Amino acid sequence: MKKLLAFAIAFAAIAGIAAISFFGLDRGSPNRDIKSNMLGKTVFDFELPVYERYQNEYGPSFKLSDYRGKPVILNFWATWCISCLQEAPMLESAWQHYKDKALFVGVQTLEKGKDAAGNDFLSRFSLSFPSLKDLDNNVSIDYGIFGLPETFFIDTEGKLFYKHAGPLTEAIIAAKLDEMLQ
Amino acid sequence: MRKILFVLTVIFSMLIISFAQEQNSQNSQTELDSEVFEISKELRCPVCVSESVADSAAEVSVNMRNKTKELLEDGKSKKEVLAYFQERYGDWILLAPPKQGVYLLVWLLPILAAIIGVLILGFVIKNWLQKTNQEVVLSQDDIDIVQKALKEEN
Repeated sequence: MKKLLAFAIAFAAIAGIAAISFFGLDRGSPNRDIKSNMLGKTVFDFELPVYERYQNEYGPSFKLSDYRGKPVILNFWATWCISCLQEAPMLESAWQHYKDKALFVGVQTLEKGKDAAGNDFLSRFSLSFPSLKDLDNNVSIDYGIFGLPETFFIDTEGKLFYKHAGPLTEAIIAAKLDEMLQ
Repeated sequence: MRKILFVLTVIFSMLIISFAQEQNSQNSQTELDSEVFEISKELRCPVCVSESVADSAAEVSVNMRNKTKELLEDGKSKKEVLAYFQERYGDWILLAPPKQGVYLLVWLLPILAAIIGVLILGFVIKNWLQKTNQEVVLSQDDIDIVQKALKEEN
């Protein structure tokens, strides 16, 4: 009986230490899809400069709160991000498909002073939805960005409905937009 | 002569005041930088593997350090700065989990495991000592074998 008790205690101790180690390793992983702290809450408003090519339609700066009433799909990207390159053609195709239902907005972030590279990126994929410049990376902090690409689905009231880390697919966009518009 | 002395005194006083102000500004800058470093050590670099914002050279970490400095200059306390990042990134952004809720287990379990370990070790040592202290009972056959061996040796 004593042996059984000692074994049970030792097992509990080892299991506890293993759980802590796993928890620690898990917290350290940068590839983990970390749930946004803003889900269901009103997202932080921002005003950012618009890439020149979109200024005729959207003006020199874009203020998020000006677009309340229409769902916004906010996509953070950078030219060094391989997944962003892979995702871009799909985003353009989805934008052509869903532009009546939602506004797609790109935000170039985590690469200061890379306007020329940003312009090349937009030309290469003929992205026709507006893209903005997060010059001081403050918006990426406000949105808790931990990797790129990350996409935020913002509902008509300006609340975060869904956040996706990593490259999107058109099926995810369709499903989340349907859910959001229900 | 008096006029010259007066002008010299004024110039000298201004120099001292300017030097003191410069020194004071340098001290407060150093103080601010060390506070930024202290806070950054507690924040996780969002794009790195288990690296603090203080240790990371990633652009987002540099930006977070700048933001920390900006918030401190605005008069925010360390707690408020950490809360600012927590509000945006969640508890994940803190390198050390907060000492509350489910995270309390992470702090308590190692202590509990250590206590249990010490208890087990104590129990095992006590058992060994008990066994060592037990009187060894030798059978007559054992005694005969030993005596025979001793005789042969002599």
